[in-house]
Parts: sequence; C-alpha cells; structure tokens
Amino acid sequence: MNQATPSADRHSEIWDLLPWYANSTLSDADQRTVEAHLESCTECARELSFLSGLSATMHAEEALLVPAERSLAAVTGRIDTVEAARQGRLDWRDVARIVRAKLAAGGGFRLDPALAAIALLLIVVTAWFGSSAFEPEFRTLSNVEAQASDAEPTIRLVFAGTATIDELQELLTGLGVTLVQGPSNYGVYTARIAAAPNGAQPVEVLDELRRHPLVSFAEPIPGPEAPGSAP
Amino acid sequence: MPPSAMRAPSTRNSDPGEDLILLRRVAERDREAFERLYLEYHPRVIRFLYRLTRNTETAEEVFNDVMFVVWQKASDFRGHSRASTWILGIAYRKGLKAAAKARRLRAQRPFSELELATLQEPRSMVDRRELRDWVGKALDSLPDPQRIVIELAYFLGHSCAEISEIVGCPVNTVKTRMFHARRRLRDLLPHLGAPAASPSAAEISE
Ligand SMILES: [Zn+2]
Repeated sequence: MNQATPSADRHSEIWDLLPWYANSTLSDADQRTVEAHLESCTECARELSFLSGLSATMHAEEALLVPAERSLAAVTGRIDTVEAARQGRLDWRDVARIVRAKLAAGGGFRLDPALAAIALLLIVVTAWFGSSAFEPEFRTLSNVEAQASDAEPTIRLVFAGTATIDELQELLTGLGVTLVQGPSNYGVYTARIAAAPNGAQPVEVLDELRRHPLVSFAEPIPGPEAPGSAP
Repeated sequence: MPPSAMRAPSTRNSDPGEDLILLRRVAERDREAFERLYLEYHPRVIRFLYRLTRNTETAEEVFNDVMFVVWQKASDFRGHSRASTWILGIAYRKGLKAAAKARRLRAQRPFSELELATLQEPRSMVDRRELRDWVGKALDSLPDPQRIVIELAYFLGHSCAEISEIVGCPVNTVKTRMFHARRRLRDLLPHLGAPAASPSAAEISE
C-alpha cells in the first residue's frame, strides 16, 4: 500500500515539516524527503511558497537603529548597584541604623523618600540573592569598619532635572564634592566628599546637599568612614 | 529555482562554543565577557523584542532586564542547551509579558470580520512596505504564543526543537502552535507567495 502512492501517504507528514524546511532548520535526511515530495505535490509546493513569502516579508523589516552603548551603560549601572550590595557596601543594617537615628531624634517620623528608595532597593537585593546575601562571608558594616581605610566618604547623588551644568559645578565645588562616576541610566552619580572649603564635616555637607533645591537624592554609600557614620 | 533557494537565511549567527565560554566567564563576574555577550545579542534580540512590542524603548528596557538576569543567573546555566537558547528563553518570557502589556496599551484588537471583508490584501509584491504592514497586522492578530513561534522560526530562524527549548514547552506544542498560526495567516494572507509573486522555474525558463 505504501509503495503504491508513497508521496500521497507522506503528504500530511511533509506538510508539517514545511515550516522548518522554509527556515532551513531540518536535518539533511528530512530536507531530502521534503524535496523529493515537493517535486510531485503542488499543494505542498504552494504552501512552501506561502511560507517563504512570509519569511521574506518578515525579514524585509527596516533596520532598527538602537545604539547598544547607551543601553549597555544602563545595565552596567544596575550591575554596579547589585554588586556593591553583594560586596557589602550597602547593608540593611545601615538602613536600620538610619531609621533608629531618625526615631531617636524625636518628633514625628516621616519616611524620607530617599530612605524609602534605599530600603526598597535592599528588599529587592535581598530577594535577588536570598538569604545568602547576608551570610557571614558577606561584608557587613561592622567588618568593613574594622578595616583601616582612608577613603573619602562616597555618596550617591541625583540632581533635579532643572539643574544646569554651571549651577551644579558651583554647588559641588563649594562643598568639596567630586563626581567620580555616572550618571547611570537613572541619573545616579557616585560622588566623593573631600575636605569642604569651609571646613564642614562630611555629615554637614551631606545635609546641605539634601536640603539643596538642585539635589533630589543624596545618600551615603555605607563603607569606610561613610558620612552617616562619621563621629 | 530549486526549492532550497527560496529558504530563509538563518539569523542564528553566533558561535555556540564562543557563547558558552563567554557565559562561563560571566558566571565568574567577568564584566568584559558580559559586555561582549551584550553587544553580540543586542541587535537581534532588540529587533525580536521590538517586533513583539512595537516600541523601541520597551524593547531596550526588556533587553536590559534580560541581560541583567543573564548577569545574575549565568552560574545557574548548566550547559544542557545552547547558550543562545538559554538567553532567548529569558527574552521569550520577558518579551511575552511586555507584548501583552503593549497590546493592552495600544488597546489593540484583532481584525473584525467586517475589516477582513473590506480590507484588501496588497496583491503586488512591488509595494513591499504595504505588504509588510499587512503581514504585521496579520501577525498581530495571532495569540502571542503562536505569534512568538512564528517570530522565532522566521525572524530569528530557530528550529522546532530549539523553539521548544526557548519557550519551555514540548515539541508537539510548538508544532500545534505553528499549525494554527499557519492556518490563520493563510486565511489572512491568501496571496502571499502566490504563483504570480514567485514564478515557477518553468515560467522563468520559457
Ligand atoms: Zn504534499
């Protein structure tokens, strides 16, 4: 029976192979089988023509020009943040400490948007890395403090959208703040607080930044001599 | 023209061995390897995601989410599949969500029967732009899982087995989705690839 009409018997089998013949992903054996069948089956030949037309039209889509560098910088910024957290430069203990300090300062406790952002980030980071993020090998503030370091306090900064370059330069120079990295895709800069020209302590510089209308976010990156933990 | 000459060029242009090495290096938190992998996958995955969402910014955001997962999960990759299949699997899952969201935002609906009756499929291959738009509309009218099988097969050039791995479903499910997608597309695009557009070898040699 099979020998009488081999191609007719195989028609539905070949029909199912056609989409994969049309995109050149069949094995050599299947490819030969399809080609043999196509010689005698006009219905399959028509279907192949349709699938090839579909494929050609889909490939004719105009080139999409999206520069990779810009988006690469964005994802690199995200990686920087989680890697900093992994290495213990950002720790939930710091958030807890800041919250306690605010509560101890008396009066009503208003959740600072910046603090909320850090808390949220930590929740997300914790979820990403699970409990392993806070296991002993994870550098915490306490063992970081034990290391001697003369690094200048590092902070993350986001400026108001209205700020001009000149205004920012004036503000930062006046406070002895140097941008060392950024902006990330989310407009976050990493900055160092050096000795302020007016002799202000890093904590005071940070407070001034937070109060400044051109600054929408200023938070320490906990680490050696972070402004928040300076004596 | 032999049938094989009509077949689509494959866009699976990465070297599987090379990708695997890069992925292993990413697992060891090698930034340079990550950047190379990023730049290698950027063009085709962005275009794939753009096709699903019709929005460049969304495609960029989703691609970055994909690569961020690659950075975090590279050490989980066990090498049971090709590196490209693994990465595209992540892109598929994120792309599916983004496509659903984009669809809601555009408040898009499939062709109504009336539109089907009144709209004329372009019969001429001359107006390629019009033809492309028409094919795009027809693809948009497919349920996302079917649409994505078509995109993976014809836009990215993957085999049935690879699609099954990327999508994370049995080969038979891919075949079923392909079957329904083809039927629907054939109804919407009856003249695509019709003999007039692709003359037979006999016609050419006449
Ligand atoms: Zn047939």
